Amino acid sequence: MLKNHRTVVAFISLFLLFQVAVGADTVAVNVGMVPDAGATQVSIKEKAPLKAYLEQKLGRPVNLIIPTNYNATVEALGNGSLDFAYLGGLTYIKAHARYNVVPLVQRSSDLQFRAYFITSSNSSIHSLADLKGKTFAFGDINSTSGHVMPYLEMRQAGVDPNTYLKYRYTGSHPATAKAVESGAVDAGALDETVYQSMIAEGKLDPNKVRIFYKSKPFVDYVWVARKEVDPATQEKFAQAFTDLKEGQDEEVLNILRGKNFVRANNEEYTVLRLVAADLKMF
Amino acid sequence: MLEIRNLVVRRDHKSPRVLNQISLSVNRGEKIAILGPSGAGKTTLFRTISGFLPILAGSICVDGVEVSGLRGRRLRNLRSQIGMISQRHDLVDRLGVHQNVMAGALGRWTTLHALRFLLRPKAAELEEAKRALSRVALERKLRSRTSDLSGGEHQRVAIARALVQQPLVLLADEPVASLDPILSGQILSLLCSLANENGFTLLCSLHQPDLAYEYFDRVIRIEAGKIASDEPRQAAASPAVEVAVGA
Amino acid sequence: MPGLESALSLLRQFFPPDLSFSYIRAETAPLFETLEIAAGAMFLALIIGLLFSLIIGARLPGSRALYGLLTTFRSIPDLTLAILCVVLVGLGPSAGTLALTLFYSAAMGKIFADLFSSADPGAIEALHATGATRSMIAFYGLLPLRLKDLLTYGGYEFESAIRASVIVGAVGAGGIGTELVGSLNMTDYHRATTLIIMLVALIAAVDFLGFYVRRQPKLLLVLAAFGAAAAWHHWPHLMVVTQALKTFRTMVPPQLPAEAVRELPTLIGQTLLIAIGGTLMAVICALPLGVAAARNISPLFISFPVRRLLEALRAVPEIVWGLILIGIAGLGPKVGILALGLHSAGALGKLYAESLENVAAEPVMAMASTGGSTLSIAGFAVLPLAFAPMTVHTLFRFEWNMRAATIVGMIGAGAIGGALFNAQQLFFYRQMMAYVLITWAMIMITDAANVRLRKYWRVSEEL
Repeated sequence: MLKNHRTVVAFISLFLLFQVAVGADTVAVNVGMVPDAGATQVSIKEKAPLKAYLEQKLGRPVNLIIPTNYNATVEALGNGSLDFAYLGGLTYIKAHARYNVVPLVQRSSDLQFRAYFITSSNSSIHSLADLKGKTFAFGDINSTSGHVMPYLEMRQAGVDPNTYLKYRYTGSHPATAKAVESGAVDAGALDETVYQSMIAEGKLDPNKVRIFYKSKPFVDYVWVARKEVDPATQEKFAQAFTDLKEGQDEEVLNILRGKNFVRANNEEYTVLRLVAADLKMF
Repeated sequence: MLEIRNLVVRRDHKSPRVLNQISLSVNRGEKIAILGPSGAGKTTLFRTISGFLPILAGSICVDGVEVSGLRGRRLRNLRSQIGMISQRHDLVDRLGVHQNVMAGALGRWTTLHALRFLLRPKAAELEEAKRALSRVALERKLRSRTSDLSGGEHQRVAIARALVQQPLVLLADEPVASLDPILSGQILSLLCSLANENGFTLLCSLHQPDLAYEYFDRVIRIEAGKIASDEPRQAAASPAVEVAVGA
Repeated sequence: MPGLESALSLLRQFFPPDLSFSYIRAETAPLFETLEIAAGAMFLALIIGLLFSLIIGARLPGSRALYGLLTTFRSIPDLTLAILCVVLVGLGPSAGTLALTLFYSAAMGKIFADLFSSADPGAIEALHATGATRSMIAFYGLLPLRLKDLLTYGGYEFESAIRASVIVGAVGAGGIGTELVGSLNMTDYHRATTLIIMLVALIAAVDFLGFYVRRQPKLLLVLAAFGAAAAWHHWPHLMVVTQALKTFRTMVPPQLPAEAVRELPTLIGQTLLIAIGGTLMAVICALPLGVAAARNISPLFISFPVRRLLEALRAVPEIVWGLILIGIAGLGPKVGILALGLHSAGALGKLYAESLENVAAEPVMAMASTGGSTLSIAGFAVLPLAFAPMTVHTLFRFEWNMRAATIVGMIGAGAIGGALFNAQQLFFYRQMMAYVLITWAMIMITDAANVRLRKYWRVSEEL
């Protein structure tokens, strides 16, 4: 009996000890981003200046979370594990439909966003029509610039991916770029800003890849709040972005791949809604 | 032909001696029963003779070859001269009867020959297996599954394997321990008559004294790792008394 | 050969690993998270699984229904469960813990129940004769009878839970899996290598720990306490649970649009192709590797490196192999076959080696006493004696690969897993549920077929 008693005491004390070691929760603002440029500790570290900037502006600790896919980001807004999030166009209309998320701010470039179609520099692909019979990479299935709009343009050019191509989803824009660069696929479509910043940062070799088509402009990324977040905090958050100025907040703007931010609204996405519904993605 | 002198064996460095100063001299063709309670060291003695256990002190010579320190090819040569049958579990259930029987030839076959036989036995090899099985009256079981054999058939197949091996010495470790008295008698008389016909030396451990005195020339008693008595059959006390003592 | 060339150049990109201190420090948190997910889920699963299996073992009322339920849950691949859990309770370790708890409660419950049902009936009858109640028999009869096996299986399942926690990380359920998949997607191969090395080290450490726990069962207490703490910490919050119920209502009833129904035969065919092809490739690789790794057949200078090779092969989960291979082998089922084949070769090789090492000593000694060479003894005794456990392992592997085939589909190998993942990603949850049901049905059918095969080869009763 005594032996059992000791076992129980040992178990409970060990349990409490580990509890202290494992648990370290803080009451922080949880900010999520779609994994448009990867979802690892490294990418979170690279975004440290953004986190610091937001903490300063909000006056509260900020957890920067990058879920592994777009769907996860939306569901996290639904069940409260994220307070704010950075969403792509398609993800936004889904999050809005499901959980009534509030659009806050976006880059001015997001209103005139483009997708780039790239291929390796020595390939024979020069137009969308040349894609017939090739292998192709989209980014995340929920990505607007990495899937929806390129898919639409390919269909309009008479190259329905389901009929004429072998394609896969790489999960992110950089992955698409790398898949094209390494020759794992013949061509791919991705976010213009990701492409440019990868070239600028030397992560992509401009001698190995080339752009063969640029899509028509469309509306893309937006920062949103979960609808339960109090309006004052929402306002502070939006203000933090519109306050960003070129030449002054270079470090943060580089992370966001933008120049300046403007207020966003739900009506901008009407066209995208129609497109997505037409493509059976919404 | 089998000379054991002052043999000492332990299971490992800490445990007590399983065999303590055993000395034994066996002549060619002798049929010897080794009696003793379980744990007396009978199995250990047999395994040491076959070179499966290290010899701590003393020596074993089989047909002039010292067992201690043998390795590789020379150890295998020695083993091919020593047949072994044990209580049970020494046939491989998944193999056919013919494969178990011809395993006796592994000592003279090359590895390649052995593996080829597993896949595709030659007619001559099957014929040899059949001959060996006919000596134990089991030729009808040549192509049976080993797992379908009865206890007595099991032991007869093991004997057939030993016949294929054509050893100088056959060590039978409690070959009838799990059989009923009638079957036990049949198996032991088979072993003895085969030993007479083929001229191999037979060492057989038993725990039933009556069987030992009925079938063997010489009866050795081992108790607690030592030889307690070593007598020819005629000189032994009457079996009835032995039964009482042995029980 | 451009294929080989690109494969080699891709492989070169994985070296050297990023071993900088700052990176490794940054990754220790996810590494611990993985450990917490696995330990927490195992702790809960052990309790739940043991409870279930005792109920079944003692044939308490409702045990048949419970057994059916366990079989059902075990048939949903862990990654599929993880996807469901991520949708239901959100990102991070909570989803991982929940998914693995569900999966391993069912898996261990079923395995333990099977172990109990093969417990010596004589001993149980003796307890019955003393007038013991059924629950008393469960605790005093069944538990001690099988404690050793329970520990062995528990250790094995823990190792596989670590790997599973990596897999579920791939869909955002936290831990080092999320990191690894992220790095691979980013083509950050140097760091992926670092993470794989960390993963291999973690699994080796768990192996090592398991060895000590088996000798020193007291250590189990520390593990249990750690698991309990982790489970407590990572268990989903109440608010999340109510949201989860709401989300779940959007998933039923399952529904497939007409065009998806038309594609179904192709998807099922691809899944079967991946599972069968992967298992076949694994068996072909694992037979020689297993023999080479068996310490009773091969000399140390061969068995030691082969064992390390097998560890490396199986430490990398199928989905990670898939992500690595997709750059080399391109798209389609062949990526799935290769990914499953490589991982399963590692797993089967180890199990084959163990089966070969654990054969009964007597028949082997009887063979050795004829003077045969090591290899001919292997052929005549060790291999046939190990045939039953090896066959059982292979059949279980095939069952496993049926699940894995649906998983690797997600990364571009096609098959039903890809369709499932895409439906989930696009928030078509009712369609997703339809695929979950189809996956489940396929696995149930495979399992049933396996039971028949085991009977046919007469291998089940020998284990």
